[in-house]
Order: sequence, then C-alpha cells, then structure tokens
Amino acid sequence: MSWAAHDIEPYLIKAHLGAAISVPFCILGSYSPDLFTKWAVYGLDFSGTKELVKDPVQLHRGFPGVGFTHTLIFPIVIALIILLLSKHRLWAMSFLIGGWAHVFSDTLDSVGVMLFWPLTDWHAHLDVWQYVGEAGRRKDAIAYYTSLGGAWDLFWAGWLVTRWRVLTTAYFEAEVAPKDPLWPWLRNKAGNAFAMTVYRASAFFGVVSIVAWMLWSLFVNDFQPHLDWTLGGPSWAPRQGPP
Amino acid sequence: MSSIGLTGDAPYSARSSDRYSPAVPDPTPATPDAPSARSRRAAVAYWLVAGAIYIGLGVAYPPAFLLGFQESIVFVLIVTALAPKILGRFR
Repeated sequence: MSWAAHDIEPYLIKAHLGAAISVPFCILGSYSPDLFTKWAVYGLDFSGTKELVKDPVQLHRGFPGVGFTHTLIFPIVIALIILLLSKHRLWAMSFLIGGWAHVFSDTLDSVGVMLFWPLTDWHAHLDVWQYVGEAGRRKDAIAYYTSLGGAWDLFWAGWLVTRWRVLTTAYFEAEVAPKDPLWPWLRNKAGNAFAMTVYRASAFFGVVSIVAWMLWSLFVNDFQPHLDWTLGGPSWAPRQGPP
Repeated sequence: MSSIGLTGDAPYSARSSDRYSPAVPDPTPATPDAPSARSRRAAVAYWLVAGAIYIGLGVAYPPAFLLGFQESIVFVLIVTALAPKILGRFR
C-alpha cells in the first residue's frame, strides 16, 4: 500500500491534464479504496494490538473481503453512479482516474490487487516493498517509510515540489475554480478560505506527512530505525501475499 | 478578492506613464516587480514555516496528526485564513 502518494497524485494529474480533472473528485477517487476499510485492517489503536479481524490481508485485498475496492471495476461503478446522480462527466472521470491511480499504486507491494476481479481473483503484485498492514499502523508506518515505499512517497512529494505553482492562488483562480462547478458552489456555501483549504489540504498533508513519518521512523521510533531500500524490503517483515 | 497564501506570478502592470516616457528620468526607480517578488518569497516562507510546524507536531505525536489528511484540515484552514493578514504586511 502507499501512505501519502495517494494524497499527492491528484495534483500532478491535474497539472498534466489541466481542465480535464476535478481535484476534489480525483482525491475522493484516490482515497475511495481505503476510505471505509483501513481502520478495520489496522485495528483500533496506533500500536496495532487491538485487532478487529483475524485476517486483515484477506479483508483488505482479497475476496471474500473488501478487496473488490482495489480493482479496476470498482472506480468505474462508483464513477457511473456519480455520473447518474450529478450529470457531470468531469466529476465522474476525475473519480475514475483517482481510483485507478490508487489501484495501480497498490500493485507495487507484496500483496497487490485483484486488478481484473470479478473475472479472476489473480493479484497483480510487483513486490517492490512488503505489505505490513496486518501488523498495525505503527509497524506498517515504520516498514513503509524505511523501505522503498518511503522512496516512492518521496518521489511524488519531490515531483509536486517541482510543480508547486498548482498550489498557488493564481493557479487556483485561473485554472481550477473557473473549470469545475464545485468551486463556485463551495465558495458560496463555506467561503473562500474553506474552498482553498479543501483544495490544498491533501497536498499539504501529503508532503508534510512524508517528511514527518520519515523523521519519526528514523529518529524517534526505536524499532528498526534504519533505511532498507532492498527490493521487497524491509527484510525484517514477514512475507505477505501470493507467491 | 483578497489573496490567500501562495500568490504565484502576479501579472506585470505597466504604469500609464510608461507609454509616453518623460525626458527627465523618474526620480523614483520603476520597480513594479519588487513588491510582488517580496510577497511571493514571504508566501513561500509562510507555508514552509507552516509545514515545519505541522511536521514537528506529527513527529511528536503521529496518531493525532499523521494518520489521515482529515487531521490536517483544521490546521490548514487556520493557516489559510491567517495568510492574508500576515502576508499583507509584505506587499
């Protein structure tokens, strides 16, 4: 799984596709596969000692389970519902692109995703880093940010830094607000400051959380506080996922 | 509309006197970009400081600040709302 890449991807998609993307719906799509399930995977506390299910990996990425949220078909279905309810193709397409970005990002870990479900429950997994969600939030954070997962997040954060102008007021006024009917509505309802907060919060959180998690994993946490950028790492984590 | 936070590139606004330049040099140097450049730097510094504060909070107590972007919304809202007041001094 990716921790903060999902927060950042929508802005870079917007930077490259321009008017064809509604950032909030792309973010919603990007969050959607984990939106209602991650808490059950991790358990109720940060340390991961209060587990809720016996097999978090099966629940998160398998079927039976809610692994269908990490498939190509799931964002299509939700995007069609959005289209039917709102009649806005922009919103539906943005949700679809965000959802697919999440699904493809999650092929990088050892468990992977059932890309072509329900046709097959075969998992696409590239084993670049180890899936450690079953160990709870704390150990998953340590595993992710000390392995190539952390490098993956740094790559996205660095890319966004090079395209920082997408976060400026000038860009928002010229390229974002006039092209998505959501923004005039939101400004009317909640004010400009709130609209700008909604626009920027995910990018802000994505970048600062990557830096904070890296610092915490390496300098505050005392469990395996060192980088392990070997393919499929970290080496201390037990192997999860299909062979 | 008031600007919020990162201001980006402000368009160059030519002074009306530019079209028919007087023979005698203007005693005040024409520096139309100086204020916006200063405000841009201030905006970048403002958000870097905001990011550093949030990173500090997150490192100190990850469960309250680093588990999901919803945890950052109040912080980003405060930073965004304060931006015009604070950055207004640098125009």
